[in-house]
Amino acid sequence: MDCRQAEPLLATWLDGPGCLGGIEEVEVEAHVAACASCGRHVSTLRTIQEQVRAMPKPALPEDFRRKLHLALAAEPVPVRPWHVRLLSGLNLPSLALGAASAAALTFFLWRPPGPGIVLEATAVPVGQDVAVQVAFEVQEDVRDVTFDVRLPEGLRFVDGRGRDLPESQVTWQGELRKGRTVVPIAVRGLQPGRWEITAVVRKDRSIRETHIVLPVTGDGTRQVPGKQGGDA
Amino acid sequence: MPATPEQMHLVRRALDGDKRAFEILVDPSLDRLYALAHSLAGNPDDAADVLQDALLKAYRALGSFRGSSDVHGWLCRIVRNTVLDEFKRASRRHEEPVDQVPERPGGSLERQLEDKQLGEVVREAVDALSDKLRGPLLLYDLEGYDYQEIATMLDLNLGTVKSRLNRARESLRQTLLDRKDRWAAWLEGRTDGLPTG
Repeated sequence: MDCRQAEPLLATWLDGPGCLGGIEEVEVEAHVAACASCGRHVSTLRTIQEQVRAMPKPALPEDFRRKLHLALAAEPVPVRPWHVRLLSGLNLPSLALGAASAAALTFFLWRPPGPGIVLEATAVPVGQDVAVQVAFEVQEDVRDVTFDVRLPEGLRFVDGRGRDLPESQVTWQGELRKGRTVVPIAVRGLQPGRWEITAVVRKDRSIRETHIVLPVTGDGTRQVPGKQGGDA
Repeated sequence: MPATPEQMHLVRRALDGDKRAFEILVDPSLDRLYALAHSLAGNPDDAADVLQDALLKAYRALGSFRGSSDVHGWLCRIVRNTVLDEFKRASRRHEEPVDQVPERPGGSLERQLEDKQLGEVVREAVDALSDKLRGPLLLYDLEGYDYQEIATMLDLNLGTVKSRLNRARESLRQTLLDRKDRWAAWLEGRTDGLPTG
């Protein structure tokens, strides 16, 4: 190892055994021991590191919690976005099992070939609830995304306590983290038929729209609201 | 790591209007969030202000927290974004350059003075680092977090943390050497303090 190879590694080697690791660590150590120039380089880095460590370490100001408390007191209670209201208190596994039915669709955003893929779609009896899982998959974090889910007249949104929500369309803003994000949405079958749910996601000029058919059968019995919801 | 059931319970209480629940939710993270804000903002006053702003943003956005990620990581992201939004490099405060540089002293009292004044020079150089480089440097060398903790706080991979730390130190070294003053000559001439590792 010569100076040109060693120099980019010196600052990491400075952090101690194991930080650089492998054969590089052994080679840098041997080189520094034999090379006056790199020895001075390391010495300078160490002096700088000592000076940084000697800088005053900031501590959370003593009155920070009091000030935060006062600032929070002036804040209105945060509004729950639509999708959170839909999900509030939702105990997804029990709901899915209770309804014995689940549907899912997936968007593959900004990644060819692009079309949404229906993973599963089974029927829900009239009067019963089902968790529709809308999954989004992206290859990198995406901010400022607009989500839009629309229901036909044969379906209705319900919240986690099993209460009806009057809107047939919900829209919210959010972000997608790299990888797969699943948003479960609870809906209730109102009328028998094959009903098409539309989910749209927008990012700037890019729009993806996916549909899923959710059959509603006529043999269900209306469940008591709240019985199949979650703990909230 | 997703949020714990206890944390999600606090989130629901806060969304139902219990502001104390939010304070309980964020309290275990406050010291680390402050260290993060300080490392990015560059000074204590700005760090406190930006942290409060970030926590109020978190409170307002609490309804969108679904619990699929760690609460602390979520708060770190908000602190980072708040710093980026509010503190552009051009608006950061810079101290006046140190114009009096001492001769290289020999005695212990002189060494203390030397260290103090060198410390000011280094602080000035640290303050002039970009946010990307200053954050990992202060979190590692000043706050004592390890590579993995910093990777979590800054949402970086381990290799990037090492790389930025390396670049920060080399940048400081180059800044000091480029001063072409007596400090540069003094630093280049030092041979003590070689690492044993």
